[in-house]
Amino acid sequence: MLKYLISFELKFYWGQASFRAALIIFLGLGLLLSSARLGGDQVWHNGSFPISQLLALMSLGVIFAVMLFAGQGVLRDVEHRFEGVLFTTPLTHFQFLVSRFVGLFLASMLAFLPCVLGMALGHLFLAAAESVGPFQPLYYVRATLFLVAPNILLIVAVLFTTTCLTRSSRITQICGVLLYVLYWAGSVLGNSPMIAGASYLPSESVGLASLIEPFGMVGLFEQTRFWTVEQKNQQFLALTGNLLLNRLLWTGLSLCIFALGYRLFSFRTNANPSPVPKEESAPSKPKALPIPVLQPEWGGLWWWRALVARVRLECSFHFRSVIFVLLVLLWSFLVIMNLSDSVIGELRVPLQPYIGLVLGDLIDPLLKLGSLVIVLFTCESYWNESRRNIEGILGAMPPPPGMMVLGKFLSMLVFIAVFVGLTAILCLVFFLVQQQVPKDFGAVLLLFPYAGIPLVWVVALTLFLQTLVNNRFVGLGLGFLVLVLGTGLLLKGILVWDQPYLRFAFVPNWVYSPQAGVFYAPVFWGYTLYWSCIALILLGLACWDRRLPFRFSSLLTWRRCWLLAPLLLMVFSGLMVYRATHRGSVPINPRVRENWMAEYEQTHADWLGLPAPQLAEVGLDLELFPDQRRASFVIHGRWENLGPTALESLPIWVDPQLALAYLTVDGTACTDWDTWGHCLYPLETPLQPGESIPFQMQASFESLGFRGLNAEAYVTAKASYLEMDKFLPRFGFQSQYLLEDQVARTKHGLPIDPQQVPAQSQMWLPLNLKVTAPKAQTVVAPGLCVERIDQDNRQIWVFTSSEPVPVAWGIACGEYESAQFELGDLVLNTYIFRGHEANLPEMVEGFQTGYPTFASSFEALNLKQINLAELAAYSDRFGGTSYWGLVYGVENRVFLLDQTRSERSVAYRMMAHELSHFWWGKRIDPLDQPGARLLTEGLAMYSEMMLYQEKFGLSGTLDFLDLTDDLYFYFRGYEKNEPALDRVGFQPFVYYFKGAHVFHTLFQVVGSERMNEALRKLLSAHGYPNQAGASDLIGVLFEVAPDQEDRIRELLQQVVTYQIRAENLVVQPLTDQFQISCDVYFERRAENGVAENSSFEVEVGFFADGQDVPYRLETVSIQTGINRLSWTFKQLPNRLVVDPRRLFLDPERADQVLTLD
Amino acid sequence: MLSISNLSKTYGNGVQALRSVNLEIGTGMFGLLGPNGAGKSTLMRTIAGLQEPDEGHIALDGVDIVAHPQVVREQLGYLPQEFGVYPRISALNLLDHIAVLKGLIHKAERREQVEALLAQTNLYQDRHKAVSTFSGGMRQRFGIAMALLGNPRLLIVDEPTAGLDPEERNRFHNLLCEMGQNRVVLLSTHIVEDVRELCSHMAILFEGQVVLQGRPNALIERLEGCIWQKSVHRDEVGDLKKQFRVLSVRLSGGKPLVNVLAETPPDPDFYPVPPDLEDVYFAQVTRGGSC
Repeated sequence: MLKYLISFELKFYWGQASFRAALIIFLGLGLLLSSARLGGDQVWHNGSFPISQLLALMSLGVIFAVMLFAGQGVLRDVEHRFEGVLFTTPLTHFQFLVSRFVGLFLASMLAFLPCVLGMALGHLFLAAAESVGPFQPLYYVRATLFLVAPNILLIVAVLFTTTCLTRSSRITQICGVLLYVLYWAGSVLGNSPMIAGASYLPSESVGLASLIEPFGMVGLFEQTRFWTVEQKNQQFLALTGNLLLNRLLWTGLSLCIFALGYRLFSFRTNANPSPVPKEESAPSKPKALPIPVLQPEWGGLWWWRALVARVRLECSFHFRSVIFVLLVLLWSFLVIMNLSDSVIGELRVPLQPYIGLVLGDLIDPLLKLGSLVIVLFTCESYWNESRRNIEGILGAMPPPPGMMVLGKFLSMLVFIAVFVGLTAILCLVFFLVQQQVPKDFGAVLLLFPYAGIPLVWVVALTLFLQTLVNNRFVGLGLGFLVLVLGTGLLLKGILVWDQPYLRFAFVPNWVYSPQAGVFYAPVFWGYTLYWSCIALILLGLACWDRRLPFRFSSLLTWRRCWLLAPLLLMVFSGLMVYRATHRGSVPINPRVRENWMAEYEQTHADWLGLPAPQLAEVGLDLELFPDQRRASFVIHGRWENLGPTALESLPIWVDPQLALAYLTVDGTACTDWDTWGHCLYPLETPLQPGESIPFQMQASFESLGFRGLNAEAYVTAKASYLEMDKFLPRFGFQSQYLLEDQVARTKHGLPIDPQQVPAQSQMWLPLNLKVTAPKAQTVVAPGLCVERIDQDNRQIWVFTSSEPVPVAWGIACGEYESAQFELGDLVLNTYIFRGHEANLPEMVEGFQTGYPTFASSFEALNLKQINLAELAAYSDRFGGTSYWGLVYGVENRVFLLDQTRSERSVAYRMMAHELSHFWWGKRIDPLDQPGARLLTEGLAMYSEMMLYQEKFGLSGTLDFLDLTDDLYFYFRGYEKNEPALDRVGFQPFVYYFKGAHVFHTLFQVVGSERMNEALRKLLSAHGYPNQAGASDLIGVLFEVAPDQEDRIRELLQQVVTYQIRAENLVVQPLTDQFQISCDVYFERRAENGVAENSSFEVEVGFFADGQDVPYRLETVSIQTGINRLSWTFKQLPNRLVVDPRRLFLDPERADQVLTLD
Repeated sequence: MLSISNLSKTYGNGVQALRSVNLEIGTGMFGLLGPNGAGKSTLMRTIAGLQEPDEGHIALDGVDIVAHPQVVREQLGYLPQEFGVYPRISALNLLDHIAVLKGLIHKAERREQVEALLAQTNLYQDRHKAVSTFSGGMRQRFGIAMALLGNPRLLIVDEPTAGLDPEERNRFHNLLCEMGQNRVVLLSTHIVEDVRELCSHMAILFEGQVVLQGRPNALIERLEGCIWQKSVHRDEVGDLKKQFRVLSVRLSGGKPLVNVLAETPPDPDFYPVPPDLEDVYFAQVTRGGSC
């Protein structure tokens, strides 16, 4: 019987159009996702990692399907009033529930399987051969069994049980959304990169999160977060550790939920019927009351009052339900979770209480999760009358259908306002409860436009979609489908035609500076006009009375022509957005840009190595127009032929993102510019060796934001920053247009390894900058400000240098407050935004300590003055940057950290880092070749660590390494061929995070004296005007520390990690002392990831309770594998730590500590 | 005056629900009789402006309400055969809401009419209770209260007494009669008795066509002397149906009582009975209405 019932269920689902639609949709999604790449450029599309991640993620999509299936399958008896018949048959409780449950589960699994199939087919037949590895069916099978099946079981258990017990499709749908909220909350708790955009998972937060997150995503991240590219491609997903526990826990819970439903379910159709009001024998009002004859009034007032009445009624449905209360509670939980996470800043130091800095983490879930909630509530509202069979009565009433739809639309506006308002209140309460008064209270109001308006567009779209179908379940499914596909939640950037203005309800990301406000404000309001017009048109179509024939000509009458206004406005705003988005020739769609770059290499490869002159003299005349977010400039100078042969033409390049007015060479304009910004300028008279030629260029730059934010070049009303040297005209092949991705290179028929672009050494020339800006603003630039000339409401700032300085022009302009500090012979000028001075003392200390320390340790510099200026948070792609005599720190990454609530002094540390670039990057000008950043960023890491350890001791350093080691192991999983430090290119995780560990180790094993001696030698032999390579650094280190050659080689020239683990602790009392024994597992992993047999000297430290310095430190010699070690003690230590000075790079450090109870 | 001419409607699935319907309906109660599927609800919904006809015209006091549905909506009270209500809303509040939609925008006046209607429909004492908890009869009375809000010129009630107990039905009839004094009331039903008791004019709709219309008494008179009755054994019914034009077979004391339409007694055992409206109805929906 049960078998028959289950097969009946499956036949039922097969007969549903929605089920077959789900099969097609999931197949399509599988095919589309087969081209998605996760885990790094070198990870195969069909690698174990992307398959697991994508299938696990897609399994959440089943929630929508189950919501539909549960509505149609489980509720079919209620919907069609068949309960009475069915529940009075001999069907048992068990047969009914089990068959329905199993049927729903199997149907959901069957609906999802096409996704797996589609992905596999896509990998086999659609993906480029070079982007896939060997086909391994077990990757799909394991991911389906370990991740998808338990997830679907959980979803089915929750939604099935809810449906059976409540017999309400609405509550089922709400539960579906709540499952998403649960996933989101779990992911936030686990700092999942898929949700919060977080870059890594801190070890301490993973364990619990991976257990409590219901869909195994955090567990999956935990298992794979340190996987290398090879592992991501080929390692099977293992059902072990926290992932296994998670799966067991939630599978068990799923069955418990079903069991609970089984226990509570009753065949009674209405166990507690609502009491039917009894008619009282004596009415309180006489029956014969005459009905007053009233004349209805039609017109504007009626229209308004009827609309208000509709809105009030609809609102009462939204807000007077348990579901809403439940949603509010869960939403509150999620908001608090998100806020707790987002108030953490650089290196986990809390941020000062600025609401604007955390709003992005509220807007994101509001737009993503909120959209789902909005679709759900809008659908419920739209179909309310139909579901309750009231549409007949209301349809025959005077209000036109449009008013009914408009009422629903407006009620959803109220709903959105309430939800956004709740979020705003929670945000304020969050800060106030922590006794932190936000410094930008008003910023909370920005939630309303930035999160609320896009949700309003979703309401209009959803209402319109409902008018296209005649079934509420289909309407709901369509709403979700269009939301997911139309808004680009899933397919963003995958398709070549994908553009922001084609993604419904697209709004730019939240980029906020407490000083300068919302960067994308012009973009947001531009898109608001565009999408609002579209939403208005959709709403108009939704409100249109379909019983009336539509004639376009009727809109063209004078009375109704205003109805065309949104259409015209949409066209106008759309053109405006289109024009702003496509300004310049560099495509913003990643796929199109890839083709553009490939074409560049194919057409301009012969420009590589073309002889070109060098800059011999240069000046800049920059005019800033902050209110217009625009800058225009003139660059003038001379090019000199330093080569051995005469130059007949100049292969000039100017950034094609600039609006170039002209570029003249010796007074003649270059005219023949191609799409990549090149012009091969023929010289009338060849430029002979040693000869120079003048040039001049005028261009302008606009930063409205439609093409994104360039963290290195923006002009806004209150804060601007321009790295103007990037706009200098250059020569020859431009390496930034080289396609790095090997798969893309093969696809476009390019050689796998890109050609090496010849090195260009850093230019040092006398400074000659002239910057014009509004009088109210201060301009900061490298060099000395020698003159300020007033000119109407503007001021001209002239910066020069008495001697050649690097041609690097980082120019900032804003409403700064300046101060001056005398640091011995040095003067420090600071330019800080008002109210951002909290960390200034620590930053000044960084200069005060750092400058003399570095000068004495490395080399004395002839600087009398250093400037420190603040950049808006728009530049937070970097924390700080330095120029000759000038250091910039970024608002939210240095200045607005709340150092009073953390022992990690990031402000101090970052200033030390940037200051040290005066030596490592300026005095040492590395050869432009692999390993160059070892000499700049690597040595700056050394410098900051040296200073930091001096102030905060070893424990402070180890605390810092806890973070950087995690970051290193996380990011190395995205790089197939991780280079050693001496060959590092643009791999920040190597030179920053590994660099931190490497230089800490060198500091410990070589010692600061010998290290600094080596660096002095480096500066002396290779300082400007000479250049240095990584091998020069290694050479001087070998010279000063020949005893550590192997270790230096390993740290700088190899990629080596370790696995060190202490376990099996035994404490044995002896006569008057104790013997402590434990196993220490030791493994060294070289570049190819294979364990090597080796022996090493490893330290073991013994710590007293509460101490962070060992009172006994032993060095033991151990072999690869398990080593049994023992020691005797008179008094037992509190804990034993293997490698307490952290000299070995190991991803898991918690297992190096054994605590004695 | 409601005037319907050449009204036709065919649904997407090919069902021809109305075929060239012509009706003239004046003030007072007009009964629309017909079996299930005859097209009554389609006609009602079309008049109410809930759907468009394929052909034909409907005019209310001379205004084409197909072209201008808003005109009829502003003067219409409509009670469909089945209707639901919003949950968790009291009768008073829901009526008040509907009253606003029907153009009663002044709060005090509106309140007065709402309370009067609640009293008229004997729901006043339950006015603060949620309508969704009402029994079938109470809900039906609530429906008529909704329909009567705003003093509509045209009242359309579709199968209003289905599912009501006799007491409720009586109460409902009284209310309808009272309402039908000075407005057009279109009552659709397949309960012949309702039409006889309430309507001054009637029409019979069969397979989408108006097969008969007129005053009920006049229609009954047309069958005077043509209805013959006989109590028979259950086994005889089949043969009688083959031989004669059997209008109805009712049970009386457990034995079939057969009504036959004929000019002369079908056989000596048949005796003449005075015709009633049910005979008129059955005479039409079988094979034509005369002897």
